Amino acid sequence: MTVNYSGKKILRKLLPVFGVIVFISIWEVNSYFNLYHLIAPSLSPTTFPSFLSISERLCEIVASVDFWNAARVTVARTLAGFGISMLLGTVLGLLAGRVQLIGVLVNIPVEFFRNLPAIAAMPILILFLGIGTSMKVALCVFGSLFPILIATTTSMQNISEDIHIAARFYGWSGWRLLFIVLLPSALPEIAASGQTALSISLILAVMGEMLIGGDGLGSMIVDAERTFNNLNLYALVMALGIFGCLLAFGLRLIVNRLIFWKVNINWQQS
Amino acid sequence: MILSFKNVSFGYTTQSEIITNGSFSLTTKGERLFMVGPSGTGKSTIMKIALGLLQPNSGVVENKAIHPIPIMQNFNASLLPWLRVRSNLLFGIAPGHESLFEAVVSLFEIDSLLESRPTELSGGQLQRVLFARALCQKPDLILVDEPFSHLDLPSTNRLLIRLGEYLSEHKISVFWITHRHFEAKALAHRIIHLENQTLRPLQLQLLADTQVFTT
Repeated sequence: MTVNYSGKKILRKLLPVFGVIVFISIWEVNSYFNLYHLIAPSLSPTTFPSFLSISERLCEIVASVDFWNAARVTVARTLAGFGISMLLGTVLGLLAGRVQLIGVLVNIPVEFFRNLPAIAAMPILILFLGIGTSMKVALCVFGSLFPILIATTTSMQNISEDIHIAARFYGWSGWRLLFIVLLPSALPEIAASGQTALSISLILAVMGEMLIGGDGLGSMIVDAERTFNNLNLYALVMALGIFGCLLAFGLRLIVNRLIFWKVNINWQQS
Repeated sequence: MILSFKNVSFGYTTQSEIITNGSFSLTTKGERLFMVGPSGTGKSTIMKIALGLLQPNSGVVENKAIHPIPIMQNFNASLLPWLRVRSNLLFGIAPGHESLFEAVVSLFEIDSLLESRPTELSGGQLQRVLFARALCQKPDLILVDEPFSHLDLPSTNRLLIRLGEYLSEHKISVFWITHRHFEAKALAHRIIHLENQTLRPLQLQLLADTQVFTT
């Protein structure tokens, strides 16, 4: 029984890896036997390269300086947009959540801008900032700001009655109330919205580069497409996917380390 | 005069009142007034009225305490889980005014909990920390609502005796809500009973015999 149980446990641990193997196998079989040709005969054989050849190309690309320069630019834009959004979203969210007048005043504008597809605002941003890095970062901020702002505002408005009573009678006020009580209360919510904001920021950084060109992984991808270099195209998209995962994983690691009371939200309400 | 209700009526809706023409007062420094009654009669609501968190529909409420400190029912969420117990106890106290800290910590026997986080504590430990935090604030009046409901009987009895001495020594007035009659027997100077929207005084010596507030 024990052996059986631990065997099950190992199997459960290996299952996610197994999922990846299945996915890659389907891909390989598909490209090796040109199965996609049965569905779409008009497609050229280079449309769907094998996973192995893409991986090989990825290794070659990763060895090049150009790739890392582009990656550095894209990741820097993503993180800059995300960082500015975190700061701005938290400050504005605290204001909107704490000062009723501000909350009421910004309510409709926030609702408007959060539902506006950020990419549609790009031409307007170009009018103000040109087509350089500042515009691309601004685009990232525009898209990723609102999840953070709204999460901060909401968690300010949902501060428990107990905290309000304690603040009033136990002499919590001023900066101590703000930085030791209110902000930590909101941090788990802010961090959760940060995950969304980070992926939006990466999407918009790449989008900006794809539409405007210049530097970054986005424009590298467009170049690969325009020169019909499908292997490069797939390899770059794969690299971008890996970067996205690493960024999300890194953020989660930092958040779990710093905000250890996140798991205790249920405890507070009990 | 520290706390007084004069002909106070209150209801969340006009149809159903929780208290009608209720009067009581805490007149002298160090006096301990207990309010008892079946659960669901609105004792906690009266506490909120006493604190000024709710306004009565009619009547006059006066709270002349200089530093009233409440411990609400299930007040756990007011402990900050990102601070250790020690910091929670001292948070909000002006530097140099921590003189009561040591005495309060030993009173509630929470020395060993000081470096823990509130989330690591049991219900009874949390209640002792909450009460200790309130006393660290140097209150002249404490208003407490079922403060030891998660403590077992022997622990509570032991604690109540020492707490009584502490409260007398520091002349702290008390407005205490409970449905556990032994708490009232141990500490109360006077008792009022709330039932059917009516407040009426209750003889201390009647407590042992009455069935009004069984646990």
